[in-house]
Amino acid sequence: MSKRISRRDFLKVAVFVPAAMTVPALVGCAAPQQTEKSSGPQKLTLWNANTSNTGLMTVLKPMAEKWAASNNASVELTNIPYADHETKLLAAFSSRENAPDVFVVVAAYWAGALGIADPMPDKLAQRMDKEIVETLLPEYKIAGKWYSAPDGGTVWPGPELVYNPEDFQEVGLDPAKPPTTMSELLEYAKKLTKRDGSGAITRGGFAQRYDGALGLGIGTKFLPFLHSFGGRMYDPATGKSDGVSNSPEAIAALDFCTQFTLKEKVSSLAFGAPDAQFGQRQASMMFRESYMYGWLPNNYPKVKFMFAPIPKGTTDKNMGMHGLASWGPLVYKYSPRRDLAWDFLDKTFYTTEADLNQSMLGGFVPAFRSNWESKYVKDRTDYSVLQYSLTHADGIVYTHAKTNKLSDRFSLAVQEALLGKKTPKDALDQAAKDMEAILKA
Amino acid sequence: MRWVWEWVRVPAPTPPPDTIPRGLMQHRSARVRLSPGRVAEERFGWLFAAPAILYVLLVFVIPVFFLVYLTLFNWSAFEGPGAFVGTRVLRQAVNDRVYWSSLLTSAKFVLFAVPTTLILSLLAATACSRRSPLPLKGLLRVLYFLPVVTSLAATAYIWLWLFNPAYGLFNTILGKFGLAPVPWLTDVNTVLPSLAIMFVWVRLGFDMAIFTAGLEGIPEEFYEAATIDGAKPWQAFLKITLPLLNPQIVMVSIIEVIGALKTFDLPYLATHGGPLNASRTVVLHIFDTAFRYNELNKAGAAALIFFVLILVITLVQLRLTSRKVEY
Repeated sequence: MSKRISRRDFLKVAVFVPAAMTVPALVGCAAPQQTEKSSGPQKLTLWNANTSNTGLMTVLKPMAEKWAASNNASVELTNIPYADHETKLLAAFSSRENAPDVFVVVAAYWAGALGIADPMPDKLAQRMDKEIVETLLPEYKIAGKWYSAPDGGTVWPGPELVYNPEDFQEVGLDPAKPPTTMSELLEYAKKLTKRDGSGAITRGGFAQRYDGALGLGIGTKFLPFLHSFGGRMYDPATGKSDGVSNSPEAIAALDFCTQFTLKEKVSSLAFGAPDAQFGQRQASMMFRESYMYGWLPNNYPKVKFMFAPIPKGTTDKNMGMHGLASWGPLVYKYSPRRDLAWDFLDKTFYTTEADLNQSMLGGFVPAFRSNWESKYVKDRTDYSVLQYSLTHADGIVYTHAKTNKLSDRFSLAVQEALLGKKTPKDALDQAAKDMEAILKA
Repeated sequence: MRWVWEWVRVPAPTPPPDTIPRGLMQHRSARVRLSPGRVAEERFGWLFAAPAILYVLLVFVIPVFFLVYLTLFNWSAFEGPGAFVGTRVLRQAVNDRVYWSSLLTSAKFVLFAVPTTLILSLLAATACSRRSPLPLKGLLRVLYFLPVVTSLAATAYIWLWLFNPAYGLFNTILGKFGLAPVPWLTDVNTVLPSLAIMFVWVRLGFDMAIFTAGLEGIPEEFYEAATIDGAKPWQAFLKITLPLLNPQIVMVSIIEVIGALKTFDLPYLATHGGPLNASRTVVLHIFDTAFRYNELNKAGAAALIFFVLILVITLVQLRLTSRKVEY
C-alpha cells in the first residue's frame, strides 16, 4: 500500500484530537464532587497510614464489624504504607471518587495545614473536651475546633531518653542515675563510646539521627535538643523563620549536637537509624518516643533498656508535642458519608476500650484520661518519665501548610552541620533565609 | 460490525481533476486516483492503528497538554484549579535552585551509570555470543536477565542490605581483608556511585539482550575474511563488531540516558535523596514537589522543562551517534 498520511493530516490529528480530548478531561478535573450512589447498605472506607501502630487494625476490626452489623453498613479497613501515604492520599483526594471516608494520618498537618478534614460534630467534641488528656489539645483542637483525637498509637508525649543499663554498668555508670543535663549527656556518651584499634567507633555513646528516609525524620530528632535550648524550627504564630530558625538558641543547640559527631566523635556516622543502632548494641543512648516501651522488646528482645526524661539544656521544657507526629483519624470533608463516619468513630475509635487496647498492643501511651489510671500505664517502666513529660511540655505545634517543605529544609541544615559540611551558624542562616521564602510564597 | 464495513466500503468523493489547483495535484490526486479497494485498505489501516494512536494520545500527548494547563493555574490537589497565574509558576521553576541542583545530580548519575552499563553489557553480550568459547552461554544469559524481571523495590531492599554500613555483605568482606568500611549510601561522595552500581545491575540484562540480538545478526563471513587477512580478535571487535553494532549502541545509549535521567525508584527507596540531597534526582524532586509539598503546578512546570531537556538531549544524541549501517 503506497498511500501515506500527509504531514498536514498528521499535524491535524496530533494537535486537534488531544486538545479536544483534554478539554472534557479538564472540565472533569475542575468540578469533582463525590456523590452518594446507592440507597443500599453504605460502605465506609478507612485508610490507615500509621502502620507502626500495629494494634490498630486488630482492635478496630471486630469493633467495626459489630458497628456495621447494627448500622446496615460495611466498613473496609486498609493499611497504606507510611512511606507512600501522602502520594496515595493526594491522588485519592484529587479524584475524590476514590477518596477514603476516614483516614488515619498526622492530624495537625492534614486538618490544620491542608484543611482537608471535616470538623468534629459538637456532641462528640464536647466528649473529647472531657475525656482526652489536656496536653494533647493543641495537636487535635485546631483553631478552637476538634478534628480528631489520638488513635491510641500516637507517639506522645514526646521523646524520652532511652539507655542501656548494661552498658552503663560496664563503664561504671549507675543506671539509676541517668544524665539530667545536656552537658551530662555528652559526658556519659564519652564514657560509653567504644572504639577499635584504629579509633573507629564500634559502639556509640549516643545515637544521633543524621540520615533517614525523609528529612522530616532528621528534623524531628533534632527538636528535643532545639527546644531544650529554647530554640524553634520556625515561629508558627508569626509565620517567621528569619531570626527564629537561626536564633542564638537554635545555633547553640545545633552546635551542641555537632560535638557528638565532630568534636568528641561519640556518635557514629557509619551506623543506621538510632533505634536500629540501639537495638544492635551499636549505641548506648538515644532519644526516642515512648512507644519504644513496646517496640524494643518486639524487635530486639535481648536488649535491656531504661527510660529517663530528656536532659535539660538551658530550659527544662521538653519538646512535648510538636504537630509532626500527632496521629489520628480524620473524616474527609467532601465525603457524602460524613455523618456515618463520625458515628463510626464515636462508637469504635473514640472509646476508652479501643484507646487502651491499641496502646497495650503496640506499647503506646493512651490518650483518654481514664486510661491513665489503668494498670497498664501505671505499671509502665517509664511512668514517671511520662508524668514529667506531661508537666514539662512546651506546647508548640508546627502546623504550617508548608510544614513538610520547611522541615525538609531545616533538616538539611541539621545534616550539613552534623556532617561537618557547614558551621551550625552558616547552615541555619541559609536555612532561615530559604524557609522565610517558603513561608512567604 | 456492519457500520464498520459501511464506513470502509464507501469511497471518497472524486472531484473533477480540473477543479483541483495544480499545486495540490501531486498531493490530493493521489487520493483521487485510489481505487475503492485501496481506500478501504487505507481505512482499515487507520482502524488497526487506532488503539496504538489512542494509547499514545491518552498516555503521552494529553498529559503534556495537561501539564501546560497545570502550570498556568494555581492548583491544589484537594480543590482543583484556582486562579490563572500565567507563566509565573514556570518562571519560578526555572529559578528554583534545588531543581537545577537535582538536575545536575541526575546528570552526574547518567555519567556514572550509563557508560558502565553500556560497556559491561556489551562485554557480557560478546562473552555470551555464538562466537564465544564460553560454556553454558544460555544459562549465563538467563542469569544476567533475571534482575530485569525482578521487582525494583525488592532490588533496592536487597542492595540496602548489601550496602548496610554495619552488617552489610560488602563491608563484611572488606573487613575480612582488613579494609575500612565504606559508607556506601550515607556519604555524599559515595552515594551516587553506589546507586549507579544498583542501576547497572538492574539494566545489564536488558542491554545485553539487545546487543546479543545485534551480534547474532552480523554475518559470520566478515569475521572469517578478517581472520584470513590476519586480524586479531580485538581488531575484529573494533573494526567489525562495533561499527556494525552502531544501531543497537545508539538505541541502548538513548534508552539508558533517558532511563538514568528519569531515575526515581532507586533513590526514593534507598536514600530518599540523602545524604544532603546528594542523591536527589530531578524526578525525585518533581515527585516531592507534587506529592509531599502539594505544589502540583510547580511540579508540572519542572516536569515540562525536564521533558524539553530530554527531547533535546535525545535529538542531539541521535544526530551525533547515528551511522547508516548495511550488511
